[in-house]
Amino acid sequence: MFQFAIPRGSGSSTVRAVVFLTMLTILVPGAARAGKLKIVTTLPSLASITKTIGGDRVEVTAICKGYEDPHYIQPKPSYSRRLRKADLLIFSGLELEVGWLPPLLETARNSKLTPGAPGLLEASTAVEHKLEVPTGDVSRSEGDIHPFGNPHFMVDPRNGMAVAALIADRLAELDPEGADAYRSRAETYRGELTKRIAEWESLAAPLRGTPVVAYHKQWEYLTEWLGMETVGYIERKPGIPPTPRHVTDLVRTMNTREVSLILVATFMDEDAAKDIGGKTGARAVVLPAEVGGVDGTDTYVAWIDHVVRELVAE
Amino acid sequence: MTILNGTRHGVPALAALVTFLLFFPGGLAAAPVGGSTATGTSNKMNPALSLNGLFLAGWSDPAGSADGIKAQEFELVASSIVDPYFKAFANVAFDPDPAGGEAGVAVEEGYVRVLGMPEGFGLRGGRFYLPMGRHNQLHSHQFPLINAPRAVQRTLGDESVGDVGVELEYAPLLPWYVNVRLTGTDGANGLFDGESRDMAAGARLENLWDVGESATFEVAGSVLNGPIPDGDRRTLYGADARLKWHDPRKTYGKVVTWTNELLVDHVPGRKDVSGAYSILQVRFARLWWAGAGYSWDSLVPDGLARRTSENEARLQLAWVPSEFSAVRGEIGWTDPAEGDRELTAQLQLNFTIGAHPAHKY
Repeated sequence: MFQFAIPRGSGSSTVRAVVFLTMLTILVPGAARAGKLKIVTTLPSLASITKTIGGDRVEVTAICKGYEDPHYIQPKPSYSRRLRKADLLIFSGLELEVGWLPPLLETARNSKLTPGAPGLLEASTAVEHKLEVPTGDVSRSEGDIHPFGNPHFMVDPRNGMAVAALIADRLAELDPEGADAYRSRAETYRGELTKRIAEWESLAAPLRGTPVVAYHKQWEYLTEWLGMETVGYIERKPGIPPTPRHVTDLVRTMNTREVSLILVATFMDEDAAKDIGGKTGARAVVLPAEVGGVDGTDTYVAWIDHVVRELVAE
Repeated sequence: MTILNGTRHGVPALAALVTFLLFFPGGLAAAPVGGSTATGTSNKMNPALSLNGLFLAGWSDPAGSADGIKAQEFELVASSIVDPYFKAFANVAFDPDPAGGEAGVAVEEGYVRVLGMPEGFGLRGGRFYLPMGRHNQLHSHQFPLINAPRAVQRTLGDESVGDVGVELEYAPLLPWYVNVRLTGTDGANGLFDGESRDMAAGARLENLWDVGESATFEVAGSVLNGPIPDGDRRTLYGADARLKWHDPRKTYGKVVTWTNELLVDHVPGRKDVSGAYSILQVRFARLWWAGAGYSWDSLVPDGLARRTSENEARLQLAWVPSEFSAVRGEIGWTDPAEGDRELTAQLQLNFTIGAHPAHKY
């Protein structure tokens, strides 16, 4: 049988000090819990919808800022602390956050956010029509692809509407006293989005059939919703930078197809997009990829509105 | 690395790797999709599997063990939820072409983590890298420079030290992120007397702060204590600090990481020896990183050494075409306590295939 010996040399005082410190920190009471549901979302768009549905019964914060690329968030200590206190984590899924969320959850050590618990909600489960789901073998020879489909679905407000209903159901499950309020607000939000979707589709009607180029496979849901056709990408493959030959081929394609728009997110290389735009006459539209990506896009509706108006701007 | 199957040639290790890949359920070899109850070939429950490979070419003056081209190491990583109670992780290293001629297979880490622990607590048991300092928790493919800094090699060895035991973690809710880690392990890890019935004990206190929206600062302290012959105990102390900055508004923007670590080795009746290093890493372009490191350490006078301290400096340039591959070139200058000053040049290829879990921050 092993003996566990606490040393009696100079090391013993250090070990004892650490043990004492550990006991001290264990005894420090956690932050007092308020009555509101504490919710953390990965994306600001999910936070905006959750605030709308949850009203004054919830406290919501988003990890990702609207101007950050949600694929490559640098985990920060404050994120772990926020997750530790959360009653619910709403994330996009489809492996959008696979590079940074699992270690954060491990360091947060919140038993409410373990696999299978009601405290974890994957927003993509609300999306019926997922795009670019591989049907055969997948490999990284195609770049940094997502094996379960394109995860940038929130830019289509029809998906936002479905996600809102999913969030309302989960809030009602976690907070039954507020169930009626959540479902009522979800219904109101659905009505507002339905009306705005009709307006946006009308506004963007001239874009239907327009060939466009995108920097990254980030706008597939947007172009599909508004009936645009993506004919190429500045990235050679997802996550793989363009080569001079690829750019030459792309410029040729753009000139042949008379591409007039290049869609690029604020955090991508907009100079490359503008350079290609200069060679082809296409307009580089620098778009916020999420809520809060630029001024005036602080809500989900304001973000979609901004994106559509930027597309149709002359 | 703990050698399980030593041999003077690399063939058995490679054969073991190939065998593992072919026969591990749902391994990296092609496996049927789906499956059925009757055949038992469903792969739905297979763990996430990945393989890291490291190839190294080196030159040194005067000629030494760094010269030549070799397959440095392959690491097979598997992780999965076991059941509602446990999550498992394993890292099996294959070293087909070591300088010393002792090829083999080693379980660098293999542990289960308890799910659903009380709020703030973590518990794992099995074989894991000891939380003694920062560098010791890294696998070879995560090393910031091609080799561990000389200060770390002198104190802990050229690869991270693992041991079998349990680790309890607790992260209290304080205004900054604090994590306390306590370990109780067997002690048969190369640092202590493996024959002793006494166990080793360790602790690490980690503190992290947000510094604005772009940076994080971490300060940590470690202690590790275990038995040595004659009934005494050896104690290792460590302190480390790291500053990490990135441009959050650009996907492939600039990143700066500055890591510093101090290690002290105390054995009763002997002069303490210590070592420290500092490493700066900068991503200065989308696919390019630069790195620089300096290491100093002191030695116990033994009459053979020219003096009782030594120094090392390294410069690195890395081309990182994706998250899954990198080519790193490095030049180094070493002024050892024994022997002549040495110049080295190394080129390393690092690749990852499969579903590799995200590294802990």
